[in-house]
Amino acid sequence: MLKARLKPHGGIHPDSHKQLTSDKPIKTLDTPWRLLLPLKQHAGAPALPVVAVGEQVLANQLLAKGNGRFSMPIHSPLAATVTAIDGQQITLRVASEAQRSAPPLARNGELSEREQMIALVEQAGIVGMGGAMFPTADKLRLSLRHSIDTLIINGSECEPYLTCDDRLMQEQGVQILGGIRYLMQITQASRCFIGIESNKPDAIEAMESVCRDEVGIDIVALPALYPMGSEKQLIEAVTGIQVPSGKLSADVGVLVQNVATCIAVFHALRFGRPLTHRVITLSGDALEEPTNVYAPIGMPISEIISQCGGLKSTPERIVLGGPMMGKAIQNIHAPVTKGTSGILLLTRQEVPHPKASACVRCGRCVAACPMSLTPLDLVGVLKQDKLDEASSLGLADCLLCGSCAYVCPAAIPLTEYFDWGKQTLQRQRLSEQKSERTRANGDARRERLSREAAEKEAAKAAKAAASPRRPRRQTTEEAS
Amino acid sequence: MNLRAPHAHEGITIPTLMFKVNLALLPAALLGILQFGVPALFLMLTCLGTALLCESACHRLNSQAAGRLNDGSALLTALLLAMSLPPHAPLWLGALGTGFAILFGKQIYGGLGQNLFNPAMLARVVLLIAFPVEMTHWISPSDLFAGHWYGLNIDGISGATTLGLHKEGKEQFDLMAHLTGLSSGSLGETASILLVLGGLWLMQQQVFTWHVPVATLVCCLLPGSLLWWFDASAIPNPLAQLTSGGLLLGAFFIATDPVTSPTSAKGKLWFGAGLGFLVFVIRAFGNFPEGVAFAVLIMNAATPLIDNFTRQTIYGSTVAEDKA
Repeated sequence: MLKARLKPHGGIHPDSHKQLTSDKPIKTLDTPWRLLLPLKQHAGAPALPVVAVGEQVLANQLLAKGNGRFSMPIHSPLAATVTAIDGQQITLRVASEAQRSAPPLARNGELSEREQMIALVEQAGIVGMGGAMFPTADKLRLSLRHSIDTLIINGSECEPYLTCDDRLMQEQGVQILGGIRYLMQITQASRCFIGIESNKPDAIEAMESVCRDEVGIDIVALPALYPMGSEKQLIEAVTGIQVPSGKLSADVGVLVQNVATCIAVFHALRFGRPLTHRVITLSGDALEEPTNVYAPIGMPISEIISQCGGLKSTPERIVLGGPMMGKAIQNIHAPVTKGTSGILLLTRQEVPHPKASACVRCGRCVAACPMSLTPLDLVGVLKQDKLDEASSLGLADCLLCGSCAYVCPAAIPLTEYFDWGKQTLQRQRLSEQKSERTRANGDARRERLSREAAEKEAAKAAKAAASPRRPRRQTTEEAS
Repeated sequence: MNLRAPHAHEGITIPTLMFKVNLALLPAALLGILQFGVPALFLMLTCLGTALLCESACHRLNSQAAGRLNDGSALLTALLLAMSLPPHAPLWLGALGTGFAILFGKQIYGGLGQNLFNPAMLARVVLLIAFPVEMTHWISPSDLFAGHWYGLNIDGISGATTLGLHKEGKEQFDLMAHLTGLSSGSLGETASILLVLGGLWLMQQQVFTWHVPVATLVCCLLPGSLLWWFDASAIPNPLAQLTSGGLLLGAFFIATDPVTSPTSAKGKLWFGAGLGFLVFVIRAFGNFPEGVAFAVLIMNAATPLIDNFTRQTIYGSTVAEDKA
C-alpha cells in the first residue's frame, strides 16, 4: 500500500454518515413491473429511440442509439414491452414470463485491437458512473492521441452517505481487477493506482489482497477529505502533478476511471454485456433500512424504497447522488440513471436550514476551496454581472464541489452563483463561437463572390482578348 | 427554499461565531468589573444599551442594512469598546463612543460586513483624540473582592499604566499583577490570563485561525525584545510589553475581526505582522504610550491591498504558465 504523495489544498471534513450502509452487502432487487429509461444519461444530446411503442424487447437489447458527440446508446435492462416513448424517456412494462436476453455485443473485426475494445465500450453505453456521466469511450479514445502512463482507479468515494463503491471493492474486487487489466491494455498505461480514502480500511484490505500478485498495480491510501474523488485532486494526491488549468488529465499522461465504471468495462469486454444495472446506495434517516442495492437502470425510486423496508418518516428532501453535489428531486417516482450513485431520503434534521446573511469576509471559503479560488471575491463580481472579472479570478476552474457553501457561516448559496456564472460563461462562449463562425462564413462568402466576379471579369477580358473579331473591327474602324 | 447542492452545512453560522467571541470575552470583562467596581459595570451596560439602540434605529431607517439586530455583532463592538475604555470613564463618553462606532463605524457603510475599519477601534481613537483627559484617566484596581464592588465607591484611586509610566521614565512592573488583572489599564485589557485563555478557546472552536494572533505577537515582541536588550530604557521588558496595554486584547479579539482583516492565510500573516510591528513602533518611538488602536486602523486600511497581493495561486495555473 502506498501513501498519497501530498494532501491537496483546502477541502472539508463533512460528517460521513457512511456507517448507515457501509456494512450492508449489496442486495439484488426483485424485478420491477416497469422501467423508465431517460434518453439523456450522458453528457451529450439525448439518444434516439430505435424501438416503437408496443414492441417486445429482450434484455440487453438496444433501445436508443447515440446521437452525435458524447451521446451514448441505451439498452433495456430486462425483457419488456415498450409502452410509451416521448422526448424524455422510454417507458417499459417488464415481461412477467421468463427473461430472455439479446445476443452479446460483438466486436468489429475491421478495427485495431485497441479501437475494437473502445468501440465495444461505446456500444455498451458505458458512462462515468461516479456521477459525471461522461462517456467512457470518449475518455479512453484520448489514449489513442495522448501517451498515457498512469491509470488511476477512483475508489475514494468522498461524498458523505455513499458506500456503493466501498461495497463494490469489498465484494467484487476481482471484477475490478479484470476491468483494470482491460483498461491498461486499452490505454497502454504502464502503472495503475487504485486510490481509496483511508476511512475505508476494509476496501483497502480487499483490494490489497486481490492485487497482491499484480505487477504495476498499487493501492494508494488517500486522506479522508472532500473532494478527494474529484479528478484533479485525486491526480494531485496520487502523482503529485497538477493538471494545468484548461487542460485534460490525458495531457499529463493520466486517465482516471471510477471503480463501478471499471466493472462495467469488464462486463462489456468479457461478456459483451451492455451497461443496464448499477449498484446504488440507498440511505438517509427517513428510510427504514438504509442499504446498498443492485438495481436495473430506469427503476423508479419509489419501487426501490418499497423493496427495502419503505419509509420511516416523510423525507424533507430526496437527493440523487451525494449530499454535496447531488440533485434534489421532487418526484419520488423518478427513475435511477447510469450516473445515480446514491438515493438519499433526508429528514428535516439532516438537511441544513441556515438563514442567509451578509458576508463577513471570514475567509473560510478561501481556506476550503480545493482549487484555491477566492469564492467571496467571485461572488462579489458575479453579483455585479462582471463575468470577465470572474473568469480572470478563475470561475472556469470552479468544480462546483460545494465546499465553500458548506463552510460559509453566512450561508450564502455560493455554489448557485458559480453554477449560474459558469453556465452564462459557457453560453457566452458558444454564442461567440457562433457569431465568429457566422462572420467567417460571411467573409468567406464575400471573398468567394468577389473572387467569382473577378474571375468572371477576367474570363470576359480573356475571351475578349482571344476573340478575333474585335481587333478586326478596330482595324476596320481605323481604316474607315 | 433552496434546493441546490450542497445539501449539507457545517453548522457554524454568524450568530454562533459572534456569540462565542462575546462569551470568550466575558470572563475578562467580568474580572474588570470586579476590579474597578460599579462605575465599570455602568459603563459597560451603557455601551451595550447604546449599541442595541443605534443598531435597531439603523435597521429601521435602512431596510437593506446587512446583518440582524440579534446577530451579536453590535454587542461585540460595544463590549470591545467598553473593554478598551478607562474603567471609570464617564458614561456619556461610553455612549458617545458606542454611538459613533455603530453609526459611523459600521452602519454608514451598509451594516454587517461592509465596514473598512474596526468600529470599536475607530471609536476609541476618535474619543482619545477628542477627549484626551477623560481617555487617560486611569484607576488603580482594588484588591480582589475588597473594592468598589462592595463599597459602591465611585471615586477610584488614580494610577498610571505601566506603559504610561515607562514613557515618563519610571519603571514599575509586577508580572503577577498583570497576569491576574491587578494592574491599571483599560477596563478589559488587564487580565492577561483570561484573555489568552479566551483566545485559545476561540481558536479551538475554529472561530479564527492562529495566523493573526501569532503573527501579531511575534512581530511586536521580537523587535521589542531586541530593542530592550540593546537599550532597556527605550521600552519596558518583553513580558511587560506582552501583558500590559492592549496587545493581547488586540491580537486575539480585535485583529481577528473577520470583516476588517484579510481572507487568505498568507494575508492574515502579513496583516498580523504589520500590526505587531506598528504596535512596537508606536510604543517605542511614538508620543503615545500605547498604539494598538492606531495600528489596527492603519492595517485595516491596508487590508484590501493585502488581499489583492496575497490571493492564492489557483490550482493548475502555475503549471499552465510554465508550459506556455
